[in-house]
Amino acid sequence: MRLFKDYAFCGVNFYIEKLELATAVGRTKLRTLSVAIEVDEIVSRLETAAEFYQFSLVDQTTFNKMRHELSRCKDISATLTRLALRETLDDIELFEVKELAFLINDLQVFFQNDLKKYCPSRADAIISILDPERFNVPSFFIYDAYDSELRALRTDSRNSLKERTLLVAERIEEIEQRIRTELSDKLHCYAEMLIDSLKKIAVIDLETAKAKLAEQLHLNLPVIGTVGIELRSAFNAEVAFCLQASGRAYQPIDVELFSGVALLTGANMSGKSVLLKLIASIQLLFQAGFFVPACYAKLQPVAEVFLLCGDMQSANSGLSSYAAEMLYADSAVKFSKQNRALVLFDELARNTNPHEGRAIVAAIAEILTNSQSVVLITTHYPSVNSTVRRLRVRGIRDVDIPVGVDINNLGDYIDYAIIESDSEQCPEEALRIAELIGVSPEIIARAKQLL
Amino acid sequence: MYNLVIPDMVKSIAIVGMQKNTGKTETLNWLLKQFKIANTIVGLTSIGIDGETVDQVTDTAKPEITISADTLFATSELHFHAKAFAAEILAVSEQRTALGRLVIARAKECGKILLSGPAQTVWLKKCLCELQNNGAEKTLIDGALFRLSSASPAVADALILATGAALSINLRELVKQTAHTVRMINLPCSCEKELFFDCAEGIWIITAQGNLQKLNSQTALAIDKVDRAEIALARTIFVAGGVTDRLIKQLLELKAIPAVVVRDFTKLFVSADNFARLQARGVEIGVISCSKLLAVTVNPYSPTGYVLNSEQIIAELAAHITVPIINIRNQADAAF
Repeated sequence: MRLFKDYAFCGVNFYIEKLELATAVGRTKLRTLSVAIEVDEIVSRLETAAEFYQFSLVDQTTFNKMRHELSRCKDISATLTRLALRETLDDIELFEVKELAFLINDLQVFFQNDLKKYCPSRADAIISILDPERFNVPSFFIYDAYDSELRALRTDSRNSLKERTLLVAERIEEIEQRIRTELSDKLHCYAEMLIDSLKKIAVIDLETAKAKLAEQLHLNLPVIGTVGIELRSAFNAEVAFCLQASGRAYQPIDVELFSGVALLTGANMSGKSVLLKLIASIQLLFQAGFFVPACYAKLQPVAEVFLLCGDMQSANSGLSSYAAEMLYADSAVKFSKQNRALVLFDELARNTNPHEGRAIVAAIAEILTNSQSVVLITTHYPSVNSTVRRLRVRGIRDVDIPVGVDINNLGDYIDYAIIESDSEQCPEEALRIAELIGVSPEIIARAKQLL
Repeated sequence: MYNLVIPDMVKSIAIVGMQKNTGKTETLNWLLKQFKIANTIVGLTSIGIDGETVDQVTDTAKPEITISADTLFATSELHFHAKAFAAEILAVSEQRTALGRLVIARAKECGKILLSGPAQTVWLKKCLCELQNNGAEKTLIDGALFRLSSASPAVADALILATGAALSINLRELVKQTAHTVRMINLPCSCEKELFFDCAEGIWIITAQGNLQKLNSQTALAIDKVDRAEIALARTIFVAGGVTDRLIKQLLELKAIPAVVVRDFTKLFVSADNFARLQARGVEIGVISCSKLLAVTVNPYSPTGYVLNSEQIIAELAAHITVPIINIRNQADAAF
């Protein structure tokens, strides 16, 4: 599978952008975060996420203070690599190492009991090397205490620059350079530990940001399942966020999917595309170790997520939207025959004539029926396949829709719930919806005559 | 040595030169000496690059900046490594200048330093704060050639202007240009400045009825005809960006010219002649933040070898300038 950030088209970029990371190492960690496939790995990631979430709830003050301290962390991995290679660090690099060592020690108080395993180990040994005069401040220079000759030379010529001969200056420089080499040698054995500490800080940064996000967006811990996907009160956080801003509520969705194919029908504007994106993002968040936007989510790991939606036209490759869609669908079908994938097709083959389009949907549904993949295909084509499971969005509510309803508030009169359907027919509400959103009566009337 | 009185409330001072080689670095060294005698802890930085041993433009020998123990300074990684005295590193920025990251350090002994600071005013301001947080009682900014932005009251509390024969070996021209710059620095605060606090960009007017109105013209470089008609009827015009001679010429064509307000003197790029024309028309020119000029230093030596009569320059400048005028060459010899 690709990296988590590469699934932006599945709606995960909303969560990525909302994460408030405090450090450069945390941002790198997020950028390189993989989508896990192995159950053990997912379990371990979710356990970590849960522990940090718990921490954020139990002691918010400490949690926030710790996040504040974290922001002091700089990404000095280049310096640490040089240290690991036994190169001699310059004063600025030695300062950076000391600064990190102080941060590591300052982080200790925030991690108690079970959380201790996430904290880098104390860096007293490093501080004692870089703070020979026990000032206990994170500043640094080649201290007099490192060398008695250096101290003598500096004391002799201190405050009287003119008296310092070139010879003395050269000798001082020589001693200073020797000390830098000695310090780098002494610190060499801690290079691995420091590199590991930076990694731990990256984890702390990412996990605390995830915990904050979970709290902010009301996300919940998903559980590992063995069959398909079970979601209770799932919500597209991005859409819910926008609706909330305009004072409206999002209707949470329950849905259950199993291995094999399910066809989803429903009127236009009934949220089918949003649902597909939601399912894809929940699956990916789950496998990346995030909390998910659902009250309850039980999922089985998959080897790949395919989401075919919107305009697949690729200007770069010069393919038409139909060609791009068909090639993508083909790759998803090929993959699904060998592996367990999550395959979500939004209005497959809509870009061609309905006669052949319907046949294409029927063919793909048939081929994937007995696969171990979870496949959900939305379509407006009737009588596609009589053997596969059929789902339907309930659609326009059975109430009198008052005059004045338009495209902005039509959503209030749509029931987005997913229900089992026993009919092979698709709901025909296209004209009604067109009428409701204010399409010219001329078109509606003539279309009705032509039906 | 001349002892300049610096008010307590002035915490940061920018040193700007009228030209290269007008004695800016010597002025800085003179101030550093003065602060050392007074036991004042100084924080030092620069906007852009400064402190080269040889002037990069004219290839003449340049005085180096000499700092004493306990002086704080902010310079780029490259110049930090070039120093030959012990200095305690206090902070290293994540952001980079053209010459590497910015290092904030405290000198442990006296020595010579090359200064190169942040090139953006926001970062420069942050850098001054950091120097102050580390104990600097006064901060000095070494301005680069024509980089007046470091002297903006948004960055520094006060400034010192360095002028000299490098600007012009024609005494009258030297005095005229210096007096003009001093006049710009001393522009009074506009009595209507509060009205413009939130005007971040564009050109604004206060109409004869006293209403604040934004004009369509996006830059002060070109004002369209409609706007010109509006300006002609306005009481005051405020330009959020820079004001150039071109705009002033357009204003001079109007029958009635409103009062002109700019953010601060660094936004005013107007020649002495055009400024005189505006004044002759009785136009009031004001700023939102006014600047405090502490002194003018004069370097009578030009990089091309001419030496002007310093006493004569000072006497002529004194007719236009009320702050102390100091011959910086006389200060340079004082023992460190």
